[in-house]
Amino acid sequence: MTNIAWKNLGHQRARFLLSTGGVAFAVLLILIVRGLYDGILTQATDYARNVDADLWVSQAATPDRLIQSTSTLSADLRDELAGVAGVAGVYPLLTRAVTFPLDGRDVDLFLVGVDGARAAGWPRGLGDAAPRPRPGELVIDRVFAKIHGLAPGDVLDIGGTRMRVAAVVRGGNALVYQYAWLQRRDVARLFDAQGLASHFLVRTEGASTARVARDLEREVAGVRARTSQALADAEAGTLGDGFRPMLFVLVLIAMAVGAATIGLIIYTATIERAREYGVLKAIGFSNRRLYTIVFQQSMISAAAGFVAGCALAFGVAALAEVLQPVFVASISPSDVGFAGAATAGMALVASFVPARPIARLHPAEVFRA
Amino acid sequence: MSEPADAAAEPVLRVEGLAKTYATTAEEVSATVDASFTVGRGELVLVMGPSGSGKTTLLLMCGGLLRPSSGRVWLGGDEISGLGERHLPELRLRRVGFVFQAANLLANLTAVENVRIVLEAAGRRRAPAEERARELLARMELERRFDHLPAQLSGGERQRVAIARALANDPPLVLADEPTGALDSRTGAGVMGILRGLVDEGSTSVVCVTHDPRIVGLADRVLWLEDGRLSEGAQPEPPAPVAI
Repeated sequence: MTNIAWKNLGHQRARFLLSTGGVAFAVLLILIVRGLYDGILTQATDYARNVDADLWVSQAATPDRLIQSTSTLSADLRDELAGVAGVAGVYPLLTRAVTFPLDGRDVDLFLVGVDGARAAGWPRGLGDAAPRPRPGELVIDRVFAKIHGLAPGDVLDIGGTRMRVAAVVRGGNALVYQYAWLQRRDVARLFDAQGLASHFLVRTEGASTARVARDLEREVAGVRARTSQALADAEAGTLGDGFRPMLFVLVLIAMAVGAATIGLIIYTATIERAREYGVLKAIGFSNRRLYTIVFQQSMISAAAGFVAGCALAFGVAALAEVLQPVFVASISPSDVGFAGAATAGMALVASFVPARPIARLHPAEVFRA
Repeated sequence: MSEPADAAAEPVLRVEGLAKTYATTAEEVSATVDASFTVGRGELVLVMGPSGSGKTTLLLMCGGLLRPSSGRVWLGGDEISGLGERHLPELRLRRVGFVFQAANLLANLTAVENVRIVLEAAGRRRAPAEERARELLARMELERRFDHLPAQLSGGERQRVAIARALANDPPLVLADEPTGALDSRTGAGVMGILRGLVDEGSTSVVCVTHDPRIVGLADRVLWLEDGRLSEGAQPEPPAPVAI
C-alpha cells in the first residue's frame, strides 16, 4: 500500500523534524527522570542490599533509611544475639552522619564503623582480598572522591582527627550523603560512643533467615530484625515515596509536551491538506482510511522522536555523570519500554486532534473549486 | 460516436424526481427540482446550463456525494439515494470515477502513485496496481511522466492523470465536473477527446457537467438545467465544436 503518510512527511521535512524534536525532548525527559530515579534508588540502597550478611538488627521503631536511622543499641547485645539458634555470626556497626570542612566548605559523609578486618559490613566494592582500613584510615565512595577530587593517600580532617583515605570504592552514593567505611572504634572515638552500636549484621546458618529473624525479635527485647533485601526495599520505598509525585508530574508534563507537539503539527498539516483529504473522501476513501493516514503520520513522527530521544538520553546520562557525578542515571530496559509505551500513547492522543476536522470534512466541497 | 444506449439494457444511471433544497436562515433555496433522466451504457451525456443552475449539485447527488432532499438515484440496478455513509465510500471507490475541474491530485504523490492509491484502496496488491496505473497513464500518453509530481506536470497532463485515476477501478460511470474549465481550449479539447474515446470503447459512460458550448458536438445527449429544472434534449444552439 502506498504510504501517503510517509510521502506527506517526506515532503514536509521541517514539520517532520519539529514533531520529531518534540517527541525526542519528551522521551529524553522521561528517560532521564526515570533513569535518575532508578539510579538514585539503586545506589542509595546498594550497601544495605549487598552487605555480606543475612540480617540487619536495629533498635525497634527506628526509621527505615540507614542515614536517617536513630537506632542506638548496646554493643554488649552482641552476645545475646549470638545465642539465638541459627545465628552464625554477629557484627556490630556504628553509623553516624558527620559534617567536616573540606577545601573551605562543610561537607557531609555517612560514616559506617565496622568491627575489625574480618567482620561483615565492609563495602563489596572493596573486594575480599583487599586490605581493610586500619585505625586512622577510611574507605570513601567513588562519587564523594570524584566531587572533591580525592584519591587514596589524601587526608581528611574529621572532627579534629586526621583520617587517611585508604581506598575509593563504588556503592555508597545516597545522593545527599555518601558513605565512608572505617573501624568502629574510630567512629566511637569521634562521637564518644564507646560501647554503642547502631545496628548488628547477622549471618545465619542451618535455619531459614526468616525464622532466625523471628527468633531474634522474640528472644531479644527492643530489636527489629530484617533481611538485607527488606531493609533495602524499605529504604527504596521511603526514598521513592518522596520522589514519585515529582517523577509523575515530570513524566506527565513530558508526555503532554510530546503529544501537544505532534498533535498541533499533524493538525496543522491536516488542515492545510484538507482539500486533499476531501478528494480522497470523494473518490471513495472512508473516514477510517483517512484516520489511518493521520495515525501513521503521528506514529512515524513519534517513532523517529523515540529513537532520537533514546539516543539523546543515553548521551545526556553519560555526560551528566561526568559533569555531576552525584547524578547517576541508570536507564534500564524497562525505562526504555515505558518511554516507548508513552510515545505510542502520545501518538495516539495526537492523532485524535485532527480526527474531528477530517470527520466533518464534506467531500462535496472539493467540487466547489 | 457510439450508438444510443440499448433501451433493453439496464441504464448505468437512473434518476427519478431528484430534488435538493438548501435551507438558509431566511428561506429555502431549491438547487434542483424534480430532475429525472437515465444514462445508458456507452453514453456521453453533457449537463449544461448557466452558472448557479444546480449542475454540480445534480452531479453530486448522482455520485452519492450529496443526499437528495427527495427523489431516487440508481447506479446499475442498485438504489444509492438511501445508502448510509458507511456504504457510500466503497460504492464511489468501485463504481464511480470522478474528474474534477481542478485535477485535485495529491501533491506529494507522483502520477503513478496518484492512480495506484485508488487501486490499492480497492484491494489490489501493489505490483498489479502499479502495472495497471502505468497502463492507464500510458493510455493517456503520459509514459514520460510516471514519476513526476503534480507540480511538475502541465494542466492538461494533470487532468489526464485525474482521468486515469477515475478509470482505475473500471467504473461503469465517470462523473466529470467542468473537466475543461481550468484548461485552455486546445488542451480542453484533448481532455474531452479522451473522455469521448473511453465512451466509444464501450465500457464506460460519462456524465459531464460543463458550460463550455464548444464540446457539445462530442456528446450523445445534452441535458439543459436552468433554475434547478432539467429539460432533456433541450439545448440552445451551440457554436461550432472545436476540432480534435
